[in-house]
Amino acid sequence: MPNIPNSWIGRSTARVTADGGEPGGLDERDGRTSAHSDPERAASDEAVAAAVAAVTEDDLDPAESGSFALSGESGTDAHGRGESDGGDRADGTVVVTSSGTTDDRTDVGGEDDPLETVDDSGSDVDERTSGPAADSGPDDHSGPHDDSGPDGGVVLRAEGLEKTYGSRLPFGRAVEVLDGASVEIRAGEVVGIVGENGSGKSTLMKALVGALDPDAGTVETSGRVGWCPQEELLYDRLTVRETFRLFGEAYDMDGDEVTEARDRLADRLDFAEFLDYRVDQLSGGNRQKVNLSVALLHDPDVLLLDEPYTGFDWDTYLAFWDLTAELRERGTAVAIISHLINEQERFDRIFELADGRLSDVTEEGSSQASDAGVR
Amino acid sequence: MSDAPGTARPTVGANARRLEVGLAAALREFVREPVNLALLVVLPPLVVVSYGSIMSSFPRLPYMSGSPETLGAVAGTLFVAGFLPGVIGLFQVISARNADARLSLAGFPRATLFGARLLTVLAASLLTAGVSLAALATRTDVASLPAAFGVLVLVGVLYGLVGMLVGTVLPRELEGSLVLIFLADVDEALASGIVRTDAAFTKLFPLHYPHELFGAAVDGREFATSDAAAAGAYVVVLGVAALAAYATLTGEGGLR
Repeated sequence: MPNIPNSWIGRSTARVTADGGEPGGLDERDGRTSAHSDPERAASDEAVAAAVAAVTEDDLDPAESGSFALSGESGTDAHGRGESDGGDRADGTVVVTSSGTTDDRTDVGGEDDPLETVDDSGSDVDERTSGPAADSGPDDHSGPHDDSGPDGGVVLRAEGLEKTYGSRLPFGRAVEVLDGASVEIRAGEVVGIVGENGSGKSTLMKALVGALDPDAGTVETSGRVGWCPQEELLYDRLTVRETFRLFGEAYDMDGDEVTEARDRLADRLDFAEFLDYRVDQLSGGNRQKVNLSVALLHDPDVLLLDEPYTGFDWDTYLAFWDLTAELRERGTAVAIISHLINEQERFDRIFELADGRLSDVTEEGSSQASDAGVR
Repeated sequence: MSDAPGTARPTVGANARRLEVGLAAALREFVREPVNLALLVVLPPLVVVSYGSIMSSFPRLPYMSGSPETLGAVAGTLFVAGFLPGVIGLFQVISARNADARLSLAGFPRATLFGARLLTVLAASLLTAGVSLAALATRTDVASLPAAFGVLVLVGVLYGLVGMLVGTVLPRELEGSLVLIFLADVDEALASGIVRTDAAFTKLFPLHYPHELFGAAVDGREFATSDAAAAGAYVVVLGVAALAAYATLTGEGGLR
């Protein structure tokens, strides 16, 4: 059994683009359906830029958010919303239970629901190779981005997450952060999770990715997971190039794969000239680019981003959304956590985390969404 | 058509490659902090000479096995050969714990990551042992330099593990360093014979058996098998404890 990480699983099938070509270049567009032609995209960007110009300083908090507050009226759904709701289910699942156990499986048939859960008493780590993926050889490229499976393409499901930070000191205060938070994210969906400072967004993200054990509840993920934490969690004295090499090893990528993905991301997010810089010598924005790129390096099926565009300049911010749109068109599920979600139209659904619970505020638009930090 | 990353690749030798990459990264992180290297080169002779010089002003008491100056120099050698790798082990764990946790979540095996950290500690132990033994040899006759060197490396690994363990339990650089320096100081004082005690509990301290072995190497005596076995067992027990603590720290749910 390959050394599969406990928190995400490598499918035993290769991933292909919509045209059936070679796996996953982020900048590959051929064969993909896009809702907008380039002129439309340009028009959308112009509208966004105009909206930025109109925003008052009170609406901006670049030091904190690194992003811009915009109204959601730049108009169009620029990203082919809903187009990716078709395709095979991912084959591997990861289940984290309230006891913190993780169940990695690329299953050998027999299970109806590829998102499997172990009960709270489970302490084992189970790795299996699954269903159609396991049965087929490496040339069978059934990808995760077809949601024709029994779960309608759900690639991440969290149910009833609870987390309270206790104090080890006798008179310390316990802080209840999550209180039954639940969410489902489907393939090809861009989901925003918004909430006030201290509402528990990063705690939720850590619980979703398996970096933090919830006190109760379950998290199930399907396919490879990429995680971009709010704090970079990188090695300060390694160069950017060395950082990618190290994480590439973690993702079980060979040198050529790492080089190809690294160069593509560096070009896309414009940090190629810094590849030989040490991480601690990078600016905050460039560190964040590397942080995000590490999460994208292995072409994940589920991408969990915690305040991903903090520190980005405008061009990089736009490049980030172009990249997100491409990922979504290919069926990657993207969850973006932010205290302030800009450009509501870029998201398929928006949740607000308040009082430890998640509620869907997508349709409520104006008042509640505005109160929740959605603009 | 090539496979996607992480799929359908042979895993033979993958762990060895990962260990190599992890070790290279850990060593780079270490040597790119010049203060680390400077401390490893400058501190050992300073400690050995100052311990010997300070103790030379003490009278030779009846229970002492040698001159106070020699006892002081030997004590300083063992102290610095243990303390410095201990601090490096501590910092290896503390400074990179969150990045290690992310790397582990990304799929890098925790045992391999721990191995890379431990090998970095071993490299620091080799350097410290060499420099401190050279400093001792300029003041005292050492009958078997290879044996003495081996014992000092053992001491470095032993305290490196102690440092990694402290770093997982008490992940604060200042507090962790204070715990280490206090432990190493008391440990060496008890083991060296400078302080007279027959209390059995002193045998539980990490340096008790290595000190016996080092004394034998300096004097040209054969190692007592029981001392060697006890020191080896101590390393194994500490290694298992440190690995378990490290795996917990960097594993699922380990990030805070």
